[in-house]
Amino acid sequence: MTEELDPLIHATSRLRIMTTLASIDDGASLSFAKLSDLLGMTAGNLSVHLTKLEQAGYVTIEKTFEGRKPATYAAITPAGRKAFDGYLAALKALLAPVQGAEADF
Amino acid sequence: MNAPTNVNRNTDQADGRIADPREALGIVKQQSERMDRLFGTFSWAFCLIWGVAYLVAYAVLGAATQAGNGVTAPWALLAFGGILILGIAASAVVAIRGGRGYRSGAANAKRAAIYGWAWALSFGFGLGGLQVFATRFRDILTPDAVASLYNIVAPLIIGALYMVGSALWRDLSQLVVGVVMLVLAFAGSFLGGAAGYFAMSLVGGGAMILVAVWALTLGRRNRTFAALMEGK
Repeated sequence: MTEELDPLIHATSRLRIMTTLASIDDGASLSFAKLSDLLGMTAGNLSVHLTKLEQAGYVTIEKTFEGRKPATYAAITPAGRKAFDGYLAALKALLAPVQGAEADF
Repeated sequence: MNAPTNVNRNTDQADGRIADPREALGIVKQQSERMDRLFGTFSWAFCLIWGVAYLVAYAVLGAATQAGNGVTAPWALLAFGGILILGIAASAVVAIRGGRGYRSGAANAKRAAIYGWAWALSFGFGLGGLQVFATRFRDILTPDAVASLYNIVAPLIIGALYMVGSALWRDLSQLVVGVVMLVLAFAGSFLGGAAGYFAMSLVGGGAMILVAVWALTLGRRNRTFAALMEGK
């Protein structure tokens, strides 16, 4: 049995975003500026993709203040982590007959 | 080689759709490794700072103690303290810079704060108490005996706290350093003052520098350890 890859995650920018947010501790979040810097994405491009992920319930976006400066933080949701884990499992299953043990991450 | 066929082959690249799942695998691997290097708990930067600090500070103590026929000159103790203070300052700078744009979850923040206090209180009360003890019994304790006591207690505290850190954050590199330090603590009971200081310098400092190199180059091994700890 083969599984479809989640089309929302299976896009270069959003896959990188999900991988990044899934790598940090549960409950932790990254600022918009930090994400933009980490991913080398423009603010506009990052905003578009984060919004799509937020609409799907995969990430939460929190607007707050640091001192007097507005700051936006993004974190993966439990649903997003489950979707990402499912995506990785489907990817491994898809590649297993082609790459053998290489799909180990 | 036949590519998998159950992938959306929408040729519209405006959304950045990935045509080849192997490319997706590459993206996940590359970004995961980068995140491991940047956010690995026992980051290479801390390991390097403290590896160099222990290497230099304990070498100064060892050389001064050897030159003083077993007695450590006060200037060497001051230099030792000064180097450790520099290490604390450098660690603080790394922590503040690295933490920009990162907000820890509430549970992890509390855990990290308690762990930080464990270091401060262990060293404060532990080594402070040892100093009081050495002063009270200076008439019967030789300088060599006092040095050996320090070379047992300091790595004992360091080793135990690193092992606790390893358990808290499922970090293999802290486990390695913790075990090395605990072995050094035991070895300190056999070694004279200067030899004990040199052992801390070369073995303790050296181990941390090696872990720094490992964390920088093979850091993603920590994910394997975390997976092992979870029984995956």
